[in-house]
Amino acid sequence: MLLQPFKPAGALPGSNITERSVEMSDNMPGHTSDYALLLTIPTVPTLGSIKLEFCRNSPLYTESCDPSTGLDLSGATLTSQSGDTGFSIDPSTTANTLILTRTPGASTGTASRYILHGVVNSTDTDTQYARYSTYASTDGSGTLLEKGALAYVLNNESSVSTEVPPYLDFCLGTIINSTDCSDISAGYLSLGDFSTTKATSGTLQTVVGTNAANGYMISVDGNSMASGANALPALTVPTASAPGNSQFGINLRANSSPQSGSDPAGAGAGSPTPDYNVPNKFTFRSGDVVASKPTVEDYRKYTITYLVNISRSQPAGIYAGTYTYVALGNF
Amino acid sequence: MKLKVTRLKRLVYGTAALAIGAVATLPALLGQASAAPYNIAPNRSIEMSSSAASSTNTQYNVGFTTGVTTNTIGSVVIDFCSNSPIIGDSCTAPTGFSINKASLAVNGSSTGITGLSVDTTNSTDTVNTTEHLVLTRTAGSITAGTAVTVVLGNTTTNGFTNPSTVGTFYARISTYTATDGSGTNLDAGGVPLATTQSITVTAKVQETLTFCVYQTSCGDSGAVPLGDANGVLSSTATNYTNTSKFDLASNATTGVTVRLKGDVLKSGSNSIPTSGATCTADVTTATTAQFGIRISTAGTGVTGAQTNKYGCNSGFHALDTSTACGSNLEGNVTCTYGEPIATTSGPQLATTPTTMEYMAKAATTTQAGIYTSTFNYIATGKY
Repeated sequence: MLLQPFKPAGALPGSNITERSVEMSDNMPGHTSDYALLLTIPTVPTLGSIKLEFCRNSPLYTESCDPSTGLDLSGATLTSQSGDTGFSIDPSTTANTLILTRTPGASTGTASRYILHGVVNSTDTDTQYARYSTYASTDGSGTLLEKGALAYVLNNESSVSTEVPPYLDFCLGTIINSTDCSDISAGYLSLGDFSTTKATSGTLQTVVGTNAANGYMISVDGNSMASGANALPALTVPTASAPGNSQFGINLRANSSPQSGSDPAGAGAGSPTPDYNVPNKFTFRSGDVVASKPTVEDYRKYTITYLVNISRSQPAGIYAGTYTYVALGNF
Repeated sequence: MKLKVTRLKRLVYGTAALAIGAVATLPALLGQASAAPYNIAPNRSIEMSSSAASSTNTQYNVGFTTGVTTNTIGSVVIDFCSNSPIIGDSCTAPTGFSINKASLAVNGSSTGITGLSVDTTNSTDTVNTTEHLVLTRTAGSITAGTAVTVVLGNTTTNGFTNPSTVGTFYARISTYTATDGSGTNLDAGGVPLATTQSITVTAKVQETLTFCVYQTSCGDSGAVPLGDANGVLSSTATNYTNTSKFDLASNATTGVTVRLKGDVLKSGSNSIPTSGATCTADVTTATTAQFGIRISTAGTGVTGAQTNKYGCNSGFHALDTSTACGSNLEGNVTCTYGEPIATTSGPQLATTPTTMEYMAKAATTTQAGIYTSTFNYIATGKY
């Protein structure tokens, strides 16, 4: 008794379409896709047509073919071909059966590829099948030469989603060592004893960052330093330091007179507003916007320099001021 | 009245005895039977590598034991007959059978009676007429009762051609002092052989492909939220991750390729950029936004170069959106057919899930909004 090995279904003994597959550019049910038909046809003397039949039930040629639901090949176009060439889509092509036709000739036995554009995918999501077959005839009729089937699966997309919230990072301190708000020394600023012969200055720092599409503004509210009813006159326009004259003002720049302050720093690109953006000139108007940027801002550090000068007639006392800085994101 | 007498010859000593008058018909020898009345001890046999009718390059393993007398043996002769194993009877060559003397060779070395080789001169290979095989050697003494084996043919390039008809045929084995198979035989005996019908067993195995993409279990929506418990990238210093999986099984001869089509996370015209085309370390600086994927667990049989490309270590991710789209359906995830991310090299009938890990991180400057990306996993079996 001699047993012969069994052969996989879809294959004629001794002949088979090999290296067969169908690549899809979009495998979601019901979507329109490009199909790359890949197959290697054994060398035959006369190849006139290639049939590709899509079935939802079975790849077996001995079984009937139930058409895949919703699949539509009828509107597809053949955009490229290689290997065994010279094919066009036969008019007998239906929604689930593609017929490629050409003038009959010998096959090359090399890997072939045919790109179809505009195939409407089936809406079935379980495993489905496609059956390749070749013919000497030009319309997929008559004696089948070679065959080979494959299985494929359509599946729904995976959607990855997230939300980016509005960000506004803002902090104020006597010293901010980092370029973000992670290392802040808080407290209050003491300017010490005022002098009639030289300027008194001190600094605070602020950091801002935001994803506000229309940027941000930093404003300051407060009154000039005062001791009871005796207030230091605020500089209402950018004014240079003048020791011996009572003055109160701020700026957000590095200064040499007095030697105090730093220019804006960090990855951001915001800048002080014009009246607070002049080195060695100081201004203070409550409610003023002192720094801004019209678009998103990476972390930006501003150093606020406070300037005080007094005249000989300035009444003695302990002078103080409370200043509130507000960052407003414009989303 | 004369009766035709058919009597088994008595071997050994070169004598022949004839009996006249009595008729004795011995039953045909069947199978690998013990020798009687030939003077070859039991254990003579011929094993065939194939019993299929018309089988070519068939190997025959001939075995027998020499008789009770030590003799000088110079040749072994095997005659193939369809009608009778009895030496002395007429011999009809089996239909379609051939010893293929021109190519037939002793496979390896004979044992017992050593040094045997095919004598092409004295062998006769006339299909359907006479199939007479002579194995020759330098004559030498062989002790009585020596077990002999000689393997003829190698199943690939030389051997016997079995009869084309199904049924029993016979081999008549004789030994001779002469080196050309002539003269009086010393030991002899017949062996039946049989060719049979082939039994063909067929079964249908259809092409299979099972592929399911999911987040928790096959059949769920596959939606993957990234972020904190509310799906928000609430911290610009944190890399948020989440996973999806796919199950893959197929009997595709050359295996399955899984392609990925997708893009970076987008909200209108704003996007969170890719980590990089290759595995790139996740960063925690607030000024950098990143989005990437990796294969955190490769399922059974999922291997290959593309798997390695996205097989980043923990803390590393990639998403190639820049490699040029090639003509062989290669490139990056934004190409028409996407990009291969995982492959199997052959049939894989049961797999453990492959886990895809997604990572996203916003920067301080990443504009607020709902960011999404749609990933299409495409499994293609090559049969």
